[in-house]
Amino acid sequence: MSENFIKIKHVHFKYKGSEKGLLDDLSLTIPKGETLLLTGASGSGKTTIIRLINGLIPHYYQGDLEGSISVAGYDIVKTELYELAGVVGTVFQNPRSQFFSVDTDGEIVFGPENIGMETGKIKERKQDIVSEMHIEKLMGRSLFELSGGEKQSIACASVAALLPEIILLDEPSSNLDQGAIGNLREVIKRWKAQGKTIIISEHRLWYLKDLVDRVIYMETGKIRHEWSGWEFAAMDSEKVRSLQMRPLKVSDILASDFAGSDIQTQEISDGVVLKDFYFSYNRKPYLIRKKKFQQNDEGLSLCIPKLTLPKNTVIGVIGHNGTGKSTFLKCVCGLEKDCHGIIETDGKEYKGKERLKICYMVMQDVNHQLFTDSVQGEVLLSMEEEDKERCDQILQSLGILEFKEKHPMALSGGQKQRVAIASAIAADAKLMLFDEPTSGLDFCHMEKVGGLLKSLADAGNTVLVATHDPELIELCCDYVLCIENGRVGYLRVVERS
Amino acid sequence: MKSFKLNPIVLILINILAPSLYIFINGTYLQPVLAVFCGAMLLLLGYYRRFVIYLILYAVLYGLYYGCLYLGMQFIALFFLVFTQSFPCFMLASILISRYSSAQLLSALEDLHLPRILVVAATITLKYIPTFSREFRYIKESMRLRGIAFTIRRPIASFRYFVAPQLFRCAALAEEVTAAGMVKGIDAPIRRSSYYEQRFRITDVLVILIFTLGVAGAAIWARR
Repeated sequence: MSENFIKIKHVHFKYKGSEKGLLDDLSLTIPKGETLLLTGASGSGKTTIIRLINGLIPHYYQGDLEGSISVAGYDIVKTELYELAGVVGTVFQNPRSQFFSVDTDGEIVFGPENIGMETGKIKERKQDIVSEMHIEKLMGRSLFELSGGEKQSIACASVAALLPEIILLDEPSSNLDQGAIGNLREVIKRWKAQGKTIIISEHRLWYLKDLVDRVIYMETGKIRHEWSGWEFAAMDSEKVRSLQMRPLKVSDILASDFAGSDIQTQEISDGVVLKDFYFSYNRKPYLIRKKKFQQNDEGLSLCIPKLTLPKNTVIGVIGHNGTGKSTFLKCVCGLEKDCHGIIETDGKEYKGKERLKICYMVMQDVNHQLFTDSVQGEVLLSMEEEDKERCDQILQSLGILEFKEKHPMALSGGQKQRVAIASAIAADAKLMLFDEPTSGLDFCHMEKVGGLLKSLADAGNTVLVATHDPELIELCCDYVLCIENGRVGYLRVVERS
Repeated sequence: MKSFKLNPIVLILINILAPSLYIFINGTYLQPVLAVFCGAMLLLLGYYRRFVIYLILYAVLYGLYYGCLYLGMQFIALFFLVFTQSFPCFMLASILISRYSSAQLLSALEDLHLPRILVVAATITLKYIPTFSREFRYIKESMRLRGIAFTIRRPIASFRYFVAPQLFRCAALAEEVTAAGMVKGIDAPIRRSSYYEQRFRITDVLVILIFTLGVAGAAIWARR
């Protein structure tokens, strides 16, 4: 039993409505207490395996399923989902859409309530979990005001509250910064010490490499490679790269200590100058406009008197979650109406709404940015005067001309991102801002995004990209701009080894 | 009086009952009673600012109704009438949403022995309201980025640009949140227990009593 705790035998699976099978004769046994890492490109079947183990396939996501799956003695196909609730716990990729409650307490007790635990026992259980995970200070708060890392902690606590023997994590670090990933690592470590069986599907590998007992590399629905934990940890970077995996070691390129030299902004002769960028969420807007505040006022969420950015380059914007990266981007492109900063470029000044005309921001979730019913329409919408020829050229340069007539929402995530970029080019944006464009992407797609950002800079745009991925900075950034507490920490040249 | 405790069941019950009472009692009489009751609830629970805002809105709606009647636009007047009549219920609903967490509401619904499927649907809807406002903000921002900001000058185009992404987001979020609920046993065929103990207090009984008396009063008033 303990050797065959989870047993997947000759499984073929195809989602309903899709033509291609996702899993192809997959067999896998996982002993009790093992920590297993599933990796491989997007669409290789990692998430499908997770869904097989927690029973979402075939009970929620329907499709053609062949083969057998048994988990802790339960035959998944014959077991109802709620019977598995206390056996298998799942932490999903996106913390915000896995919550049922609006407050932290309610979320943690949600599972125990569902299975009808007594009120007294629920209270005890909640207390245990909260103190075990050291999240006392998160209690009694609204889930909407928590940072990404804090949300993920609550998600983990909520899963742990049912005391499942098996815990599945589906790309849990996608929306987290370095510090929050460190916390997640501690949580996984604790679960491992408690003897839980843990299965993690993940692209980010560095934080897991000395934690896992076994690593499985998936490719097109099949297990392509299998390594023990120590084999994996000792793998050289050449091999890692050849398998299109994200690096195992990022200690030397960690976002917090980029080793390049500081550049003084006056050294940049031809640049994009940002002037008087002040913003506050809790001070009166007119005080900000009239500059009636102290420079060291803690209430200022953004305080950048002057900053020169080198033109036609890719600049990585780094900093911890909640330190003001997103605020910075929003203020630069003019989305925050109460920020009255001025952008100076090519001898012209852009104020207020004019900033919206020369800037374009590709949001983390591009689904908010696509409005029309065809890719072509999306690009034409951004043009002052519709120019179909130019539209085709832009689509061609981004490799999405073939989808011209398609509905943007029918495209894959990466293709949607390209459509958003195409509209940015069509709008003649000089300053292109990207908010976490690679969160949750595998290495191959990250490389593509990196290449794209570079080519945008080469074409005469200045690109600012907020990111938590040191790998992306390594790939494409010329400079890094560190934002600390709404102020410029440093602007450095990226030196590559 | 933020400390005034009220069992959410009371508000839920009244909110379910109030609209259906219009079937039995003439709206002209029932509506003022409901409005006074709901206004009193707002004051009692300490929502003074909201009370003033609603009072103004209510007056405006009434003004519009009579204005339309005066101008002979019966059809539009009817629209405003329906709006004013349902206004007290909106007031109660706003208390429900801002005062109680969805977990508390869920357990209250459970106490009413409603079918599970209804309870689950209600929870997801409640949860979606704050989510919706966040999504709304994102979409509004990206519309401004695209230079197609929401304007009254082009209402239909603006509305279309706004609704399309919202619908797609809605579908995706619903799928994710349902999957998350399923693996935590939301559809277990057992009675859900609750972390929040909601007892019936004397104040709850009093509120229901006052409501009943008010409705009875309206019925008598309507008969005369």
